[in-house]
Amino acid sequence: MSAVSQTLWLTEVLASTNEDEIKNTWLDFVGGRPNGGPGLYDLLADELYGLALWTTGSADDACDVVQTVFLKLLERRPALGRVRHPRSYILRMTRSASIDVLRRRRPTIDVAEVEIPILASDPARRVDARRISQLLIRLPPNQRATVYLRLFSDLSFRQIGVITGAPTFTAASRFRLALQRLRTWVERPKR
Amino acid sequence: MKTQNPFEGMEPPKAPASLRPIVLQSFDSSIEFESLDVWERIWASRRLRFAWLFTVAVLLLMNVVPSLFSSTSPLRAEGSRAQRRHQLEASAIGFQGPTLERLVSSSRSASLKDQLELLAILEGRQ
Repeated sequence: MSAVSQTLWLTEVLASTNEDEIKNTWLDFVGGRPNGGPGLYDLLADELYGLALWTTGSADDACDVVQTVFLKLLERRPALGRVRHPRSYILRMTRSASIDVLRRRRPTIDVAEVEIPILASDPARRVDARRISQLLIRLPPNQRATVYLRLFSDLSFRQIGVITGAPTFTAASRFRLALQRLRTWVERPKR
Repeated sequence: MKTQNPFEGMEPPKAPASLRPIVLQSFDSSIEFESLDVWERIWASRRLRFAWLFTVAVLLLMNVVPSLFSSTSPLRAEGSRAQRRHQLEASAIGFQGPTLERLVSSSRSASLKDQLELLAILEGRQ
């Protein structure tokens, strides 16, 4: 087994382990066991917060979205037993709640003042990260969500399509277009 | 920016630590965690609700449809019992042959004309 295939195999194993963990915790949550809620929060909060932050462009709104999503999960808990893909289901709820926030506050948002933070541990990449943080808000919310789900949630375009309510081809197209635009903006800053 | 992926080496920020107690507190105050009993699970399950509905519908059909089309339906059975009783009564009085047939059939679906004819027959007999 080559190094590349070993890495790929390890990635798949880790991903499936994580999915299994989410499913087990989900069953605890749906079954009303006390560790279900906190467990689900610990497993998914960062991912949900990131998606909400990238979609809304506001840390406060992202916190509200995460809180709203977990409250809705509690309300719907008795009917959640039939959900087969909990992670996708919760991401879809998060995306939907984020879009609701965007619709409510659209007339008041000032794009020039908004940044979507992204962090780089490597000092050499911090300048790029800062620049991208400023540019991300110029992408449409659907493209931002697609980029986030593809690169940071590591979902397939088919799964992203299900979450964002778009065909697979559209999801792939949004991703490609978003990266193309970002590259163009980073290489040729707006005058 | 020379890399193919402009986000290489970057990651989005994590959820603030202050969010966790807020969400978990709302968990505690919103609902008491208790195991769902079997009736709640049945009520919550769309499949089981459909199965229940389907079963009720099938039972209803099994009861209603045969009684509508069967020759031994309660309505028909009652009609045929009444007809036989009339036949016995008419033959006991002394009616026979076509008159008996006519009498019995007119007792089942008697129009005004049949009833008048029946009255005339009875009066003529007496």
